[in-house]
Amino acid sequence: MQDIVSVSKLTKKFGDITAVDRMDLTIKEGEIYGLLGPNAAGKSTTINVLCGMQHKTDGQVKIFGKDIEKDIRAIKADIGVVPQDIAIYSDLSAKENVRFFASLYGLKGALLKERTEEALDFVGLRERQNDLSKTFSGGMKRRLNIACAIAHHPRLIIMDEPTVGIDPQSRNHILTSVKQLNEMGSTIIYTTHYMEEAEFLCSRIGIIDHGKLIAEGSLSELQGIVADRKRIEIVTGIEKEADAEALKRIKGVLDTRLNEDDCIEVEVLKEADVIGALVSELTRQGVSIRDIKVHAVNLETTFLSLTGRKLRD
Amino acid sequence: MKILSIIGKEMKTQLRNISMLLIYVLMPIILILILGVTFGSQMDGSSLTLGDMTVDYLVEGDAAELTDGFLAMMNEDAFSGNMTVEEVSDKDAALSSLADGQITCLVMVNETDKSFTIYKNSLYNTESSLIEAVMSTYVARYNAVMEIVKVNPAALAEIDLEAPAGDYSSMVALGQEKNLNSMDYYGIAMVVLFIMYGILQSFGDVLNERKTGTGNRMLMTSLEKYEFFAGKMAGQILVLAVQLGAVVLFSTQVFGVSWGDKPLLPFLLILVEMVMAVSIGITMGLSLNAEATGMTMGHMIIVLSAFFGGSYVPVSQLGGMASAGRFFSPIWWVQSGIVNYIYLGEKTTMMHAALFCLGITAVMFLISVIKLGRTEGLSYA
Repeated sequence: MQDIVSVSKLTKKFGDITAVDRMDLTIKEGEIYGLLGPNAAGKSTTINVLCGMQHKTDGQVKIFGKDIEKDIRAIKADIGVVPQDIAIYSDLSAKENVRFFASLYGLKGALLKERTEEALDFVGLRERQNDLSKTFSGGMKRRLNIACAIAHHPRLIIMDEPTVGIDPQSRNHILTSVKQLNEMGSTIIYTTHYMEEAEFLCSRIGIIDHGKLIAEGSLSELQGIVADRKRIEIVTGIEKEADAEALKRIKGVLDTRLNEDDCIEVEVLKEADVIGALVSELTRQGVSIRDIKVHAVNLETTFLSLTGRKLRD
Repeated sequence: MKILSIIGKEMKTQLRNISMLLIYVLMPIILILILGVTFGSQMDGSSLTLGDMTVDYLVEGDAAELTDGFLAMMNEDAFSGNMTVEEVSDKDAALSSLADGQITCLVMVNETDKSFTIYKNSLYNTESSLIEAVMSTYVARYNAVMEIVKVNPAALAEIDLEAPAGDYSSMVALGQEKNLNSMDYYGIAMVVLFIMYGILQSFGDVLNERKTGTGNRMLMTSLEKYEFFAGKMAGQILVLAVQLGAVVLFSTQVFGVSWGDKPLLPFLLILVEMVMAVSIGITMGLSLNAEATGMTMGHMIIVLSAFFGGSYVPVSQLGGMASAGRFFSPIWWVQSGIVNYIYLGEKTTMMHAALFCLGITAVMFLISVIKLGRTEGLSYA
């Protein structure tokens, strides 16, 4: 399959701060590529460079085989961007919003009308097409935000956390829509804070932290990185704080983290039987135990292991 | 095509904003009405309306030619209709009536030493001053006749003493056939002023595009930055043209405001002013992040331009330094250009006004181009 996005040694600096650090990234045609990372990891900067909103400091970026420095206008014509913040006009109707943004991609006449209606149908807003968008709910605005990015049938759609702050019904609608868009032929880059969305949607996932792509692969490949591990969550009483460092000395324990909600997260080798030792140690410390949960490896575990941070940190 | 789309979007979003319509259409109309009516008597150049006048006179000595002349003058057409002249014999009673405001003035006619004395009431200052002025002229005329009698009495025969004595002087207006009345003045002044409010409208619009991310979203399409700028400029100018076009239409039809017989050049100058105002607003919108800062700056520019430009009070009534400030006011340039063209047929001020506005526009364009070139997207910090 053709490489839709090819990034080599991409670096972006803001003064002394390096937001993206020699990143290599390849996305193939037809993929839904998940870009995961905590806040300030470099996701948005990477996306801004890909859609031509920011200039790279160094490296090479090719989209559809074209150099982003030389052919940015042609590249932009084939990209649809769904920004994280809802960027629509509240004093325009749903139809006027979609028509306006589609017209900026060069659509006109009958084709513009047809594609506008098609996009509104796709996001389920045809019935409300003549209503001003300021009368819409948060979920409807999110769907309109997507409609404005897809009417011109882009080959590459970049979605920056498109489900933030919406109800489960609208979220499900959007996730199904993303799958459909992919089946219709668009390649999708999807950034999210929600692990379950990445697990549900993405054929490949890249984990980015401190401006670097620290892991990349399919869901099973990423889980394989930490396949020899499991995660134990211990909810303690509030009377006394546990000494997490002491827990690390138990054989088979790889890492521990104390959360604010009186919860100790313990990463252990999959085969190690450490629960008894953990309970003994906490009892010795005088810490009461209210609950213990053992989690199998998932993307969240992988992310924690790789970055040392939760995705929403 | 893309620029047309932006223009269409600007028209829809701005003209659907009811509060903006109230500010840009209703406010100038109301101000034209209020200021036009309030300052009407000061600017219209029409006759002064005098109230009913009562003049008492008291003759000291036997009535003779001075008294006859005084009565003849008072009964002339100029004062007939609203003046009553009554002879009194009690000076104290007459002065008491004067103090009470029952009479306009008291004239003492002294036949012995051939002189007049006028007692005035400050309540009737205008009316009594008028009588005083007319009487001064009469006294001068009387003295002139007396001098002729002394030197060459025969020459009196050559003077037509029956000729009307009212035309003591005549006024000739220079150059103009049309009169600038207060409605015309404020009809033009308010349009010129509210174009400047286009600065705030354009600033708010561009800042909002940056805040909400719609500006960046536009630039994420295949739209070029120059197309964004051109679309914004044209769109905002058209919005202003529609808003103030409605004001011009209403004020000409309802208030009878005149834009002259050949309004093409005045309207072209109005267009140039619109370009300038919008360019200032867009440049501020691209350059400033704080809405409060921009609004304060915009209001300062408008208020100072309006004050020195004569939007509220004609510049001729400002003195000294304040009057000198008009040369920095685009409002003064544009307004003077239009008024001088319409009422004096003079184009030079209009040309200077256009150059002044275009100069500012050029500077704003330069700043915007530099700003757009250096900034990545339309980032809002």
